[in-house]
Amino acid sequence: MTILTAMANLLPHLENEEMFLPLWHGVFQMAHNVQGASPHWDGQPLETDQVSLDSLKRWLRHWALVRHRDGAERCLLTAIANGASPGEVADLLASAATDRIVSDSGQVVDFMNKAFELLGLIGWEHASEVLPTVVGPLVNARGGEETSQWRHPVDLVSMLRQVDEELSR
Amino acid sequence: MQEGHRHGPPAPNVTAGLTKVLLGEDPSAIIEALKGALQRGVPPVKLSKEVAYAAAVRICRFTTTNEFSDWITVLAHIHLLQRAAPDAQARVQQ
Repeated sequence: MTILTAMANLLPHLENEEMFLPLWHGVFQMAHNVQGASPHWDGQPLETDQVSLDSLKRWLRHWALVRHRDGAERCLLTAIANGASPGEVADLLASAATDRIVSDSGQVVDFMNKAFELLGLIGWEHASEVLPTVVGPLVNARGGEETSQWRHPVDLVSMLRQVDEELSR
Repeated sequence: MQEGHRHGPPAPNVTAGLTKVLLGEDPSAIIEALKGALQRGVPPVKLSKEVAYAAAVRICRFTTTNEFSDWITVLAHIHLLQRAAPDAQARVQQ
């Protein structure tokens, strides 16, 4: 999906007869990616619109940290179903993605970014289909705090957490 | 003629010298520099562009004798993150 979006971004710079080439490449990569994979059953939003965005954010961050995919996905879908703006949903996901330090070498933020770019191209009404695809990488990501290179010889994680606290004061 | 006054005085460059610190090898200096910039009110989007610039400079200086896999790291990871970070922040602020 990342490649397809990047390819779609090229279209304005291309002549009509060249447009199919990047799109073909993108679709091919996407098909290759999902080949043989078991289907993903769509999650459902919570059946209430009484939950505040702050609660959803807190829950999403919690589910992401404990690597609970369904929980995280339902929080995200509830926010979308309750009419959160693209900026609010981006904030929701970005907060969860940055709880782990440079989660998966930054790939989570990158996937997220491309998913939002894709929605910019095809329309926000597809959000509940496109955005759940980033929940898997989000909850499965390894953060810098889990690897030794961020801990030794200098414990960067504790330095960053301290700055985090100082700045949020 | 107002020639020469048209653009007013140049805006003070609050992030001057940041690239040099970012490209250095002292993690505490880098963290302090970024924290200081944020505390002085530099917008996060501007700051992440500064980091992106430093990442680009690092790529320019990366020698061709380095291993291929190291190139993947420096190009793909650093640059993609630095491209995604300003975009993501701009999006959150919408």
